[in-house]
Amino acid sequence: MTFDRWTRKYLHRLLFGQFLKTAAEWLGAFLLSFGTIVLLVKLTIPSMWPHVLWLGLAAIPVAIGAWKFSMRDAFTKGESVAYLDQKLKAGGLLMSLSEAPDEEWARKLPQMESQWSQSLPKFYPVRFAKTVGIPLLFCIACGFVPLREIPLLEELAQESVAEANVEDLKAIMEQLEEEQILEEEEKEQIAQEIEQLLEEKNQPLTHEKWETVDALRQKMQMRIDQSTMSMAKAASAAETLSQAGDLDNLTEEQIKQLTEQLSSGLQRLSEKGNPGSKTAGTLSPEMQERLKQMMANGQLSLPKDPAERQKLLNELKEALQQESQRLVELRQKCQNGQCPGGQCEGNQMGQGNKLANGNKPGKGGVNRGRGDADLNYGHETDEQGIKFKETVLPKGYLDDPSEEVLRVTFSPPEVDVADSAPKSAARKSDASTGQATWNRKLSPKHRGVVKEYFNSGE
Amino acid sequence: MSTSETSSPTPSGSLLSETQVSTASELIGKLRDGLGKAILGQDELLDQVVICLLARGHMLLEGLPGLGKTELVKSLSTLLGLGFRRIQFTPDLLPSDILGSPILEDSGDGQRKLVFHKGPIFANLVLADEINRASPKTQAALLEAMQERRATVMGDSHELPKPFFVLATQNPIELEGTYPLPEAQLDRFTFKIDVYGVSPETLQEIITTRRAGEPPKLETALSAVQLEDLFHLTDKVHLPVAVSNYIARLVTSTHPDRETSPEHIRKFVKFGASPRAAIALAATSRASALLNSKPNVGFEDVKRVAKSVLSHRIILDYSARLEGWTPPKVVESLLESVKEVGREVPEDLSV
Repeated sequence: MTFDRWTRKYLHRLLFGQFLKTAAEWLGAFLLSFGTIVLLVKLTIPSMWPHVLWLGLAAIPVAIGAWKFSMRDAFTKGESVAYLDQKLKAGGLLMSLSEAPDEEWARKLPQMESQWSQSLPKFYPVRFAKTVGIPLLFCIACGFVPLREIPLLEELAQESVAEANVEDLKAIMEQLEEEQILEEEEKEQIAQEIEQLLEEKNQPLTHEKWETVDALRQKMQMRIDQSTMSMAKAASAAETLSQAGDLDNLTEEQIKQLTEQLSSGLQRLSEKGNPGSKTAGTLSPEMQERLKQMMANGQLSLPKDPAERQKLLNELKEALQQESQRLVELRQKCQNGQCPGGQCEGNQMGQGNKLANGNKPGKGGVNRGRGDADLNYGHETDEQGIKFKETVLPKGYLDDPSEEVLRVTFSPPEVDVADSAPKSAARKSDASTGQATWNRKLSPKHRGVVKEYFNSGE
Repeated sequence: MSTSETSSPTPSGSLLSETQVSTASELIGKLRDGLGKAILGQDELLDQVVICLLARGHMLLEGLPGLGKTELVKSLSTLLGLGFRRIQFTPDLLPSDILGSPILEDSGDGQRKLVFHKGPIFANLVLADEINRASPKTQAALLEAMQERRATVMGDSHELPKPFFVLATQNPIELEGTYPLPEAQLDRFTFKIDVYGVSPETLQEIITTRRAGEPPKLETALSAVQLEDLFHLTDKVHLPVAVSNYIARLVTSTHPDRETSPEHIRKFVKFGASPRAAIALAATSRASALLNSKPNVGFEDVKRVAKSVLSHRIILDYSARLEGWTPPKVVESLLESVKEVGREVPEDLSV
């Protein structure tokens, strides 16, 4: 029958519409899942990112599955014919002819092809677009999410940081022992603390441990600083004495002070007990002999001959500077080279901290805070032993610059409470009211407040 | 066209031929024209009467007095040339007054025996006038007659003549001293048709053309054989599967306990229509199609007869009456709710 072709077409369109309904739901779910997977992979395992795109091919089996699912309860031919019959207003004749074909009655059906074609359902996939649109946009948006950058040593365990710090401390401790900077009691105490940290190195690193490590490091740095300062002062004293020639330009007291500083430095050298090694090796035999004598007598005796004395002092200065330089290097090593030139004295960053990106101000972690940031006052000096540069303060002035004698009285002058009140806001004088308050001398920054207070009632 | 031609058998599973349909239309047209002469300005009512007749169904006409209900039935009997009896239902009417009763008679040889004397029910067309005025016992006497088309008196069953129709009338007012028909009785009426008044133009025509309201004299339009042929042709009108599915869903949807039923049905309907309603709906839809010269039933045929078939079979709740819902209104709403095809077209298609 001629209408069979159109009923088939109608049925196919209905089936496709049914497929679109299921496909929209399935594809929407697939796109949401795919987008989520892409997002997770990009944020957690970026290395898998290119491979995830292959999952997009799963859209094909999803579409096939949607087709199969929609066909489980597909439109029947009878239903499609019923719809077509209604559309053509055939009054049930088309339905009847599809069940009981009759050529005679078939002629009563519309004969124009256009009538049949206009009766076919039109595709209007608004629902499909609505259902798939948002998941698709989500999927595209997930595609634009940048890959997460993995920190270089993110996976470094906390325990290794602790271990590295303690090992670092231990190495510094050994060097300090070699230099004999620490006193015996102090050395034992630090060694005990380090030993305890080493025992607990496999346990989680707590803020108490961090503070212990910092305290130990700071203590050792302080000792190095003291020794460095002593050496520097001694070298400076030696230089001053050397430049003074026959010492005529210097007073007795100055010579005494310089000699004490020099002897103090040399005493530290002698206390090391190894004048024959390293630093002591740079001194002449005569100087070594003098140092031994000084150790024996407890004071330094400089040669009377200016030339000889100058030569000795130069030699001492050079040795002390070398020792000072060695201590500076040791200090830098203690600071792990993070603060050259002593610009960040309070910084005790070690290897572990560096790995943990904690060497930046404000990034010391929740347990360390801003204490790691540089403290710059703006007037620091590079001179040894002096923190700040000398600054000339502005000249002072009196309230009454004229300083004129107003009058001479026979009795003590009457003091105006308001005039004699201190200039700070926290007055210690009696409270005053009215004009007395107004007349009281207030600093300009407080006057506005007082005026506003009294005018507030208007 | 001869009677034999109209009654020629139609191959099973095939549609009626155009000739058969046109012959049927011609015969129906005669009947319809005759009724139109007797009852003026009630075209839809007359169509419904013809449809019910072709479906071999019983009919209950409800309307105010003087609207021509009785005249309609009388005209129908004249046009069909069938045996006609009228029973005026009153409260003191007894079942035996309808069915008949055995009477002791002398057989002539000195013997006496009970001889059954047929009542007025033994006619082709029975007019049960003001049926709700009789007692329920008398009303119940019609139950077997209407369904089984036979009457049982004192254990003896007596077949009723074929065809057999009960055309009943009842008055919706003057309810004092009446006995509303029970649901079982109502269910046996294929159609319940509300008869309304006519337009002023029709009234004018009535008073100008008919003196003392007497209807024109009618002649027989259809013989009994022709009527029987029409019944056969009506049975052979094709009922497509989709339409029968629609009828089934329509009747099922009248039940409030169904999840697929519309909201107002679940809320207002107490009892839905019986399977007899579905059978009546299919039969009257076929008759409606034949009346429209069609070899098959369409959805619109079902819709045309649905109100007359279903409205008296749906029992409403009291809340429905409070909300102003009537059975015909419920059926109208049902026809809007239940779609012709059981499944919606996908949203991505525009039909």
